[in-house]
Amino acid sequence: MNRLGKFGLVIISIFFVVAVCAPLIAPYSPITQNPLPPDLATEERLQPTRQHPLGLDDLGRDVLSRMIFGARVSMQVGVAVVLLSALLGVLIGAVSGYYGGWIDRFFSGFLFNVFMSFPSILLAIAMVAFLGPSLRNLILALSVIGWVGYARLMRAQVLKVREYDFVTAARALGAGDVRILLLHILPNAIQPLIVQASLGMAGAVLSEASLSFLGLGIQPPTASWGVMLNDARSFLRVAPHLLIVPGLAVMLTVLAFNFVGDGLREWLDPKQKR
Amino acid sequence: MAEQNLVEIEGLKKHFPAAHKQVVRAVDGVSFTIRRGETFGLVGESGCGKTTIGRCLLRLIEPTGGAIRFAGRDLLSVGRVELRDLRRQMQIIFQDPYSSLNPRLKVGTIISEPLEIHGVGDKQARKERVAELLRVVGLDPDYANRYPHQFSGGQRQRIGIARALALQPDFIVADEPVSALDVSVQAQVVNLLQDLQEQFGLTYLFISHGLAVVKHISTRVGVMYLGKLVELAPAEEIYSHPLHPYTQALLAAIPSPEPDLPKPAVPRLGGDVPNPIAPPPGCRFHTRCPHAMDRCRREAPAFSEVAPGHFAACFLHHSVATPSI
Repeated sequence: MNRLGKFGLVIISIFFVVAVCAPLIAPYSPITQNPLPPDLATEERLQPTRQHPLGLDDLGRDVLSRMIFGARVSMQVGVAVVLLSALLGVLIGAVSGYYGGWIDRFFSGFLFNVFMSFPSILLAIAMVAFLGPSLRNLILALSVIGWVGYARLMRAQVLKVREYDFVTAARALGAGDVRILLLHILPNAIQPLIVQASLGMAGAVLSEASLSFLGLGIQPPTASWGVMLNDARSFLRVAPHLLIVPGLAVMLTVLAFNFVGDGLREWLDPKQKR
Repeated sequence: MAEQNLVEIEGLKKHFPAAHKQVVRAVDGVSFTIRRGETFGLVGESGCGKTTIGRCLLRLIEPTGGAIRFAGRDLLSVGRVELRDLRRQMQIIFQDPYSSLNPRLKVGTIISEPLEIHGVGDKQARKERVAELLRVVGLDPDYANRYPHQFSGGQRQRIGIARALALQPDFIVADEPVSALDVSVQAQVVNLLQDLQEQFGLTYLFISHGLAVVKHISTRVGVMYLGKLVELAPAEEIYSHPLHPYTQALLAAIPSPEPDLPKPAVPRLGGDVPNPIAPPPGCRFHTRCPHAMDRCRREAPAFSEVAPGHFAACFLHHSVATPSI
């Protein structure tokens, strides 16, 4: 993989380790409130101190610990949403593109359009509101709105790849549909989906933040970067670091996933191999 | 006689649906036979339906009508399991050496795939077979560990040929196997195909858009125009005594290695191939034929034997009306 890809992989690995080992790393509990010194003005109370390197938030919780535990939510949401929606999308898109006919008309002509016609975030809000806010339902809702993008891309790729002569050759050799799809079509169709998945990972992290802000995602007092971002908005002037730190974390994650996506695409292409 | 014929095609039709409920008559009633051990050259310009015939023969496309018999069996009525079995006996070589090999698989995997699908041998035996096949097509057995993009067009075509040979088929459809190659490489691949034919007793349907290539390899040649056969004859015969005006024009179009020599006076063809959605009435060639008569615009000439083994669909040569093959 190229240098940027490796860099991305390192960042993601670090975040991943942090997420998994959060209770071991975090200096404080992410939800216990420390009494804020009453004699100080708000802006001074929130400033970093020796005990709290990233300061306390407005409720007196240690920001560093919340960041560390927030990584859990972000990683979980990002990975789970992408895996779930990509799996569903690849499956439906591949079947739709490969078999064509009424199957394709049903999926791509009807189902895709039904899902695309809803503003996606509204659909997610409706789903979470209906199922009740929780991490699991948030992941479910984001996957339900996310799979169509993968399915459309996959279908288009399959339509292209299935016309190649090597697919015809496999059919002439007597290969079955499953073999043709898995061995010949999928590996030649998947590339743009990997890039899409890395972007989707980033999108899922951001969507989690939006839904959490609306009270439909992560429930307080659980920490997530999105929740922290939104909590910190009112202190933008007095304690910008409360906003910058989770913002940077989201940005770095998104960037890292994009680098990895790019690196993977290059790495998966045998023509690029040395 | 039937024993001698490996492939028998009768009234083969393939109509593709087009916009506004119209149909493209890609192949519109073609009958011919391919004898065991021969090379049948099928010639015609782009869009005349020659590739469609090749694909129908392997049931890669389901024909609209007609019958195909392969080694005496009705190919169009066999079930899935039987068809899988039949596929061991007939294979295809493609025109484009770039799109015919899966870029993600190593050459060894590509060539052993047919063996894997049909469960031939164990892993070790398949590996040995791949090495042997690579040698047979004139490539280094070590190439098995490389990817297709590391090879030139001619080498890739050889890999495709090795894949087609893996199951020891009787019959191979060669769909313009050299059209995408350099002229110098073309000869090599044609020679290889001829050697393999001798070695393994193969029967070829050799599809090409020009008569020049087919000349060297074919036993008999069929010329197609707009979904129909217009002439069929032994190879020497079609080059020395072309009867159909279309064949004559095709022959005249072959560039001569000695351009200063006088050429036979055959009028060059004007215009384009008519739309296969609405082919012209009567003889399909009359719109471009230098000899077109009134009758040609009204009636379609039968495909009949005008000399022993020489068939043509043209009123100019209708001495006796014999029913087709």
